[in-house]
Amino acid sequence: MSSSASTASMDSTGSRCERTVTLSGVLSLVVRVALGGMFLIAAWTKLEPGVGPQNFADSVRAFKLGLPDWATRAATSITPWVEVVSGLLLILGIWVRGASFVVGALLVVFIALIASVLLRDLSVECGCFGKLSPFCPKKVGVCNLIQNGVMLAGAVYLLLAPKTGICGKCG
Amino acid sequence: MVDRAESASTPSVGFREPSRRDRKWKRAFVHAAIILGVGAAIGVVDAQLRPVKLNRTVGTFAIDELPEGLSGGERRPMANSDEPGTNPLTNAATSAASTASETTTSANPAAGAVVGSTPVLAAPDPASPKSAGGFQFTPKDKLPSGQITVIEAKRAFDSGQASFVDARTKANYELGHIPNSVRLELASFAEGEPAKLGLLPREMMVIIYCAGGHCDESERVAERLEGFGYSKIFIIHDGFPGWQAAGHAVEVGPEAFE
Repeated sequence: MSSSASTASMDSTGSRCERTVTLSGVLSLVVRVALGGMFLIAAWTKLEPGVGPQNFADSVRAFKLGLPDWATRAATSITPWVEVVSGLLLILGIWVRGASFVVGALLVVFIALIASVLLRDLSVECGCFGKLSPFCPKKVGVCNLIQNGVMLAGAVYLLLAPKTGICGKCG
Repeated sequence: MVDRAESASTPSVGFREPSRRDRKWKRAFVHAAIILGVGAAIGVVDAQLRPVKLNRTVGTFAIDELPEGLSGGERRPMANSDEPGTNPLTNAATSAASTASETTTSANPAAGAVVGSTPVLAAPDPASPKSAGGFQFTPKDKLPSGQITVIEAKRAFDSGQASFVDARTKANYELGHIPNSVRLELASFAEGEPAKLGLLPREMMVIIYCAGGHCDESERVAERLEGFGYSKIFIIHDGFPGWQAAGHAVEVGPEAFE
């Protein structure tokens, strides 16, 4: 019997497991901290006292999605807090798959919205990171698609990774 | 072997014990639902505590969407010069165009409207700590949405497709202001629609400024203007100090429209 099979058996029964740092474990740690950190930063810029919520609401409206007011308000107020909760859980390594699922779903929606803006040839600011634009120009463009695509790849990796903790044997 | 034989002989009832893989995904979905629920609950509470305004027009479109000509800074014909009667400022500019003071430096629709009030141009005060040398202009990527740089304001000024509103006090206005600005402070709206709104065409861009930095008079005046049907409102983030420090034309004296 191989050692991996033996380890799996121990995990499933909740008994003691080996604390071995693996490459995939380290990769998972890096991805979830980076992803969680970016979502926390993105959330902070949307929740920043004073201008954050209003600027985000303006950004959502600038996308000209034709949403009713209640939907715009819901998207404006709920999205940043979902980002906070999922970002924190990713960083803490708790419910990683659930958090990755949420983050991935958000990113799919963001990518769709950005694509629609590009297809409609609108000139709007992303609002993804509020006033910050760490990786892309503020104006929505292909760069934002690539940025979100990379983040989505990270979320999918965490979702499908066999173990999500740094300790490869003790997911 | 016995178990397998028993299961083979037992009629299938369509039920299958969830595999470990199924349980893993089911758990992930449950966790995701909880995360969404918690986020939504906090968000709903936050929305009650800090409601956002959806009727405001400040910042709902990017500067790139402004009328053609604002991006290049070239002088263009006045927007409504063929529609006399629609814009008092424009009409004043049109009628006074031939006699406009040399101090008016652009095709601003308000240009020339101050003829008779002896406009005086003031050069940037080099002794002022916020003058050209020491003033820290805010870069575009640091601005909140709906706010523009002094450079963008100057382009709009030169294009003649914008009205300027000074949201500061009368005393500050008289010490120096962007040429042909209409002074509208928050108090001007205390008794309903100010008569001076007749000087500001609603279809044109309105650019508001105050003392720059942390002053919020522009934002307050912008909100009031939105309430009166204005839809293209921008705020000069660095305000009048930025305009002055950039060395652009400054007019001194009382407002001609009071």
